[in-house]
Amino acid sequence: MASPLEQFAITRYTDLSVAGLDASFTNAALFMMVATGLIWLFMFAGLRQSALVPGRWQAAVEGLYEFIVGMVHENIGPKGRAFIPFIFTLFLFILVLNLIGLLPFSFTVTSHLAVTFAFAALIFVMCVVIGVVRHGFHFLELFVPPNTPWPLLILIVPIEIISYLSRPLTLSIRLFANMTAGHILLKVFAGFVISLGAAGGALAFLFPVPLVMTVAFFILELLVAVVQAYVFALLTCIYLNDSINLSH
Amino acid sequence: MLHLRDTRIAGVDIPRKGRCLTDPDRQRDLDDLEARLAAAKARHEPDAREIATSALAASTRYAMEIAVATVVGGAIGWQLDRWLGTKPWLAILFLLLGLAAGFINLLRAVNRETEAMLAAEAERSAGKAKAGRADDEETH
Repeated sequence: MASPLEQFAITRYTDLSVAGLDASFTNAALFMMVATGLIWLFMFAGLRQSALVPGRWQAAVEGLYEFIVGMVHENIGPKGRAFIPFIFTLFLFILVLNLIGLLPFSFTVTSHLAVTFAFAALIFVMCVVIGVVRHGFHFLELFVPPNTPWPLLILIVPIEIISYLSRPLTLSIRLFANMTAGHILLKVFAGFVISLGAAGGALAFLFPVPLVMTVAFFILELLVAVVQAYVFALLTCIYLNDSINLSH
Repeated sequence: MLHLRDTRIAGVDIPRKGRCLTDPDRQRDLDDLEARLAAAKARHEPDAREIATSALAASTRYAMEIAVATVVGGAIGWQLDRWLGTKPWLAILFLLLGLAAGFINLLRAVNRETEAMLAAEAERSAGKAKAGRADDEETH
């Protein structure tokens, strides 16, 4: 029986090396391109004719956009308007990557820590740069909670710095762990169906039990795919809010 | 919440701020519709599925906080030990600081969630009060 981890293997389609770095075209790259194409199609179908009374596709695109606008407005406030395109792109890209990973024979790009950490590291660097550009040295006030008695600062400041540095890790590990764990579970339960069927005798009649479990897990995984994309975008908003408004 | 922008159709500016229909005879109907919308929004209580979904989102968010902060703290201490040659004291100290940082992260996340929940609750009860006033006006 195939290992449940086989689905995460990266295969190279063409070898390519740019300035000594391995930049081969892999299945991860392919599925990122598929996701980009799907998003483009979705947006194109929705915005082909922008009617005053929206059709179905336009209503879907507008609904998604309103959802992100509401989220950014709620978490960052009016100063966050400039970041709506970024959050919208990030949310849609992760959502589509998560969802196409659930199709049979596809590859889940977000189940690789390298990918999710690249997202999180970009967001972390962005937050620091925006904070320093907007507030200069005042950005360091983020590590000093207001109204702290000064003897406690010796303890609080290192804690705040560690808490800040742990953000990109929690952000990336959360998405990666959820996607990986879910896909392994699905594969293991689906494997039980085959092994029970192959066992023969009375055991073969038990095969519907893991089959039902697989279907139930699949529905749960659909929910997890959407929820994790939402959580990633929400936490990006919260982190950007700290850099823009200097609040805890 | 809809954010409407002014649009231009066939050379005519259509302000979309406020109400699109300007017919004064229909004003009462529009006000009535608004009151009914507020009442419907106020009646909407979160059902079990909505609560379960938000709990799933919250739990996967909180589970990681303490573990990752502790590991980051320990890693910083371990690296400082290697640079300063103070093995193993800084690693232990920063591991504990990391644990504290994890708890602070967790507390902040929970506080944020509670605030959001209270705000939603306040909005619902405000909608209810508004709907109640509209009902009173109708009966008079």
